[in-house]
Amino acid sequence: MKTVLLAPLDPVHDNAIKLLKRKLTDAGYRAVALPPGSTEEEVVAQALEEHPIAILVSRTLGYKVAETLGHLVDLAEAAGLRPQTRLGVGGMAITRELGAELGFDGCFVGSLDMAELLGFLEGHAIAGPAEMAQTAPRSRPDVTAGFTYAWRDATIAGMLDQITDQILAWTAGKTSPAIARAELRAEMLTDPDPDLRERYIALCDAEIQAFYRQGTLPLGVRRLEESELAALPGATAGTRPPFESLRHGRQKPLFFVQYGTGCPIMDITHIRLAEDWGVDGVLHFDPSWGAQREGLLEGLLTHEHDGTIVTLDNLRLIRQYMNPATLWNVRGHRGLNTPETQVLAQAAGADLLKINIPYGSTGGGTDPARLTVDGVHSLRLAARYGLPFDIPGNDELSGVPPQKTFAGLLIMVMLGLKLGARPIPKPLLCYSPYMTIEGLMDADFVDMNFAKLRVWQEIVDAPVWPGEPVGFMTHSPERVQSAITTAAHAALASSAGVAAVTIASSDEAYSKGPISAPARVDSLRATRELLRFFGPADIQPTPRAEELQAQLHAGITATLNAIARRGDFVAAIYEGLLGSQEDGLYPGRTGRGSVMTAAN
Amino acid sequence: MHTIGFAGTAKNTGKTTAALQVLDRAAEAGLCLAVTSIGYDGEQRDHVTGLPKPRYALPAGTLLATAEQTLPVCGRLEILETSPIRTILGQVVIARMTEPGPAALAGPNTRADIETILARLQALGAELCLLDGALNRMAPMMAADGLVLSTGAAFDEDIAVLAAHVGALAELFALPRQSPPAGALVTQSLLTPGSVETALNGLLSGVSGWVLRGAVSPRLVAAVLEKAAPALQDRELLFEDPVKLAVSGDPRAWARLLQQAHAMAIRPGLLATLPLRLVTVNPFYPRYWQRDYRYEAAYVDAGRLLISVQAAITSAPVADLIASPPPDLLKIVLGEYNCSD
Repeated sequence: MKTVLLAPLDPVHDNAIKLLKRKLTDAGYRAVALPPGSTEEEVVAQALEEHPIAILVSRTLGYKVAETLGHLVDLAEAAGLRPQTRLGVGGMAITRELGAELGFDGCFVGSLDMAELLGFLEGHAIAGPAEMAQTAPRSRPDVTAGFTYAWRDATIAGMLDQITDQILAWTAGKTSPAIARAELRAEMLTDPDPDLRERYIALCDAEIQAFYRQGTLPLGVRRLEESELAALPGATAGTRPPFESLRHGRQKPLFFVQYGTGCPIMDITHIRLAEDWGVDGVLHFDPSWGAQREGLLEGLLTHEHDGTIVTLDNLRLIRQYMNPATLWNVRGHRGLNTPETQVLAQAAGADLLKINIPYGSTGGGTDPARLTVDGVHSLRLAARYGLPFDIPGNDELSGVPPQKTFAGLLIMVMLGLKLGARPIPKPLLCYSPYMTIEGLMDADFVDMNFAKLRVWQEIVDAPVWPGEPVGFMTHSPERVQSAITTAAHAALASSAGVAAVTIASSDEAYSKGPISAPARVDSLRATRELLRFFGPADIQPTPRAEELQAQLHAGITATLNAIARRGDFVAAIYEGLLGSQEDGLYPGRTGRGSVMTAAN
Repeated sequence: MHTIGFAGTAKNTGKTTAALQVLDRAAEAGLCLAVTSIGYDGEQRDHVTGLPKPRYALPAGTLLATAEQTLPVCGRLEILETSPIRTILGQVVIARMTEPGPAALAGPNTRADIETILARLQALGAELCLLDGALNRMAPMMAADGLVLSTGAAFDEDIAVLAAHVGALAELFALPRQSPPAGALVTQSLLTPGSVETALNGLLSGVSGWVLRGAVSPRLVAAVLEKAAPALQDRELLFEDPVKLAVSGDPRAWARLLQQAHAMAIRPGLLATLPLRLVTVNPFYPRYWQRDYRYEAAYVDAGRLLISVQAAITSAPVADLIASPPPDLLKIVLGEYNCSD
C-alpha cells in the first residue's frame, strides 16, 4: 500500500488534512497525518522513516508562511527525498504561480478535486488551466435537448394552430426594408460587389446612409482605437482557472448572463469574468436606438450607452475572445433590423437567436404589422440556420399580466415550430407591477414563480428558460440584497427543473452606467453558494401555487381564445388582447407603414 | 559556462534586483546570457504583500529556460527546445529572446533537473547563466559555480539580528573543503532520534571521522557530540555542502556548534563547497498595517545596515546594489576579484 504523508504546517487547523486522510484512505492509500503545529524538520524526519510517495501540505498563506513552505521544500531536497517523494501544496490563497515559486511539484487550487490529486500521486503531470482546456474540452450544451415539443393541452394547441395559420397567411406575400437588407447583407458576406452595398444603403435611414457615404458616425459613437485593440490580448491572456460550473452536480439549468456595456472590449472582459465564475452562456444586448433605425453600421464601434452596437466586426471580436464552449445568444427580437441581426449573429458564430413579435411590437418597440412580417422571416432564418431561438417575456415589466405574456410566448412557440425552428419560451420570474397591484406575491416569491414555471409543463414539453434576468424588480441598490434575491430566484428555477436561467449582476438596475465586475461576481458567487446549499434538495411551494397555476392556465386559455376569435393577430396586438393600454402596454410605432408587398 | 545562483535569506531581500544588475553588466560585456529560476519570477506584485516587484527585462539573444505557461507574458522569443522536465506551470522550454522584452521565469526546481537544463544552455552557447532563487530557498543552488546572497530588513527589521544571521550563514560557505577520510562513519541525514542512536553507536565503536550527508539538524549533531566528542577529537566532521547546512538549521545554531567543535579539537569541513561571491543588503521591508489590512514599503537605515553586515562578514564582499553598486560587479560575481583586492 502506498503511503502519503499529510502535513498541516499550521499551528491549529488541520480540517483539510483530516478530509484528505479520509478520502485517500477510501482510495486505497495509507495516509499518515501529522498533527497541527508540526515543524518542517518533523515532516521531513517522518518522511525519512515512512518513505511516502508524496507529502501533501495544507496551509493558509500569510506573511512568512511562504518561507516556511519553501524551507520544507529545501529540507526535503537536502534530505534526498525528492526523487522518490513528490511534494504537493494546497490551501487558501495558494496559487499555481506561488506553488511554482515555492518549488512544489503539484499545487491544488480551489476546492478538492480528487481525480486531480490521485493523478498527481500516481506521477501524472498536473494539468494547468490551458492543458485542462485541451485535455477535457467542454462541448456547447444544447438548451433544447431532450424536449419533444409535444402539446399536452389540446385546446390551447388547437387555438395556437388557428392563430399561427392566420399569421402565416397574413404575412404571405409581404416584405419590408429589413428583410431586403437581411438578404443583401447575407450576399454581402461573401460578395464584395459594390452594387449590393449601394442597394443596401438605399434601404437605410439618413443617419445610417451618412455613415456609409460620408463616414459620419452617429452622435456618441466612435471607432475602437488600435491601442485599445492591441491591449486586448494582454489584458485577457494569462492563466485562467479551470471551468467550474455553477450547477453543483445538476445537469440543468444552464446559467447565462447578459452583457451589453456599449463597449466590445468591456464586454469581452465581462464575458471572460463570467466564464471564469462558471456561466454556461452569455447574451448580447444591443442599444435601443439601433433598433429604431433602418440599417446597421459596420466596423468595430463603441459608445457610452447601454447595449453594444450590432456590427459583424463587433460580434466577431467578442466571439473570438469567448471560450469556445460558451453558448452565445444575440438579441434581435425587436426593432427595425431584426432579420439582419439574425444574419450577422449566425455569421459571427451565435448559438441562439432571440425573437418575440408580441413583446418587440409593444412599448417603445416596432409597429406590430412590421415586426410580424420581420419576425416570421427571422424565424425562417433561425430554422434555416438550425439555431434555437428564445422568446423573452419581459412585457410583464410594463404591467401586463402573466397570462397575456405567456399567451404571446405560446404563439411564438407554435409559430417557430411550424416554420421548423426550435423555440425556448422565457417566462419572467419577477415582482412585476401586476403582481404588486394585485398583491399576488405579498406573502412570498415562491408560489407565484412556481406556478409560472409549472403551468408550462401542463401545456407543452418545451425547454423553459426563465429570464431576463430572474428576480427582476426584486433588486435594490444594496448589492448583498440584490445578489441574494438573484440567487434565490436561480435556486427556485433550478428546483423547478428549468432548462436554463439568466441571472443579473447585483448592480444591474442601479449601476448608473456599465455594470461593474465585482457586482457581476456578487451574483455569480451568491448563486453558486445557494445551489451548493440546496444541492439535490428541492424547494416545496405551498398548495396556493396550484391555485395560482390553475388561474394562470385559465387566463392563458382565455387570452388565446380571444385572439383566435379575433382572427387577426396584428389587430389583436393593436387592440390590446396581449396587453392593453390599461395594463400599461401600447403598440409600437417605429416602422409603421413600412410593410411592402413582395415582388414575385 | 559560469552559473551564478541568486539566493536570499527571505522573500523581498533583493535577489532579482541583484540578478538584474549582473544581467545588465554581463550584457554590456557582450556575454551570451542565459537565465532561469528555481521558482517563479515574473509577477508584477508580490503574492502576499501586493507590493510592486522588479521584473526581468532581457536583451535580445538571451536564452531562457522557463515553464510553457509563462510564455504568454514574455516578450518575443523563439522556442529552441522543449525539455521533458515538468513544473506546476507546464514543461520547461528553452527559448531565445528575439527582441528585448520582459520575461517571466519558472524553471526546474530540483538540483538534478537544473543541472540537466544548465547542460543544454551551455550546449546552446551560453557563457553566463543566472539562476534566480525564490523566497529563502537555496537547496538547488549547489548546481551553480558561485552564489550571490541577498539579505535585508525583510528578513528581520532588527539590523543586529539580521547581521548576526547572515554573518553566520556566510561562515558556512567559508568552511574548508576536505576529502572524507577512509574509515569515517557516514550518516545519511540526521533528523530523527533513531539516526542519532545509530550515529552514536557508530562513533563510539571507533572511527576516523564523521561524514554527515543530506539534511542535518544542528541540535541533533550537538546531542551526538555531547556524548561522542572524544571519539572525534583531532578528526574531521564533514558535511555534504554548505547549502545543506544552511537549509537544515538556523546558521546561528550552526555557528555555535562549529565553535564547540573547534573547542573540542574537532575539524569541521565540507565535501563540496560553493563560493560565496557577494552578499547584498536591502533596507526595504513590507510593513503591515493591521487597521486596514495592507502592506506598505518601509526601510531601515541603509548606511547602518551596510556597515553592520560588512562587519559581520569577512569571507565575501558586501554591497548595497541600489545605494552604491560596485563598478566591478561582474568581476566580483564571476570570481575574478578577491576580497583583499
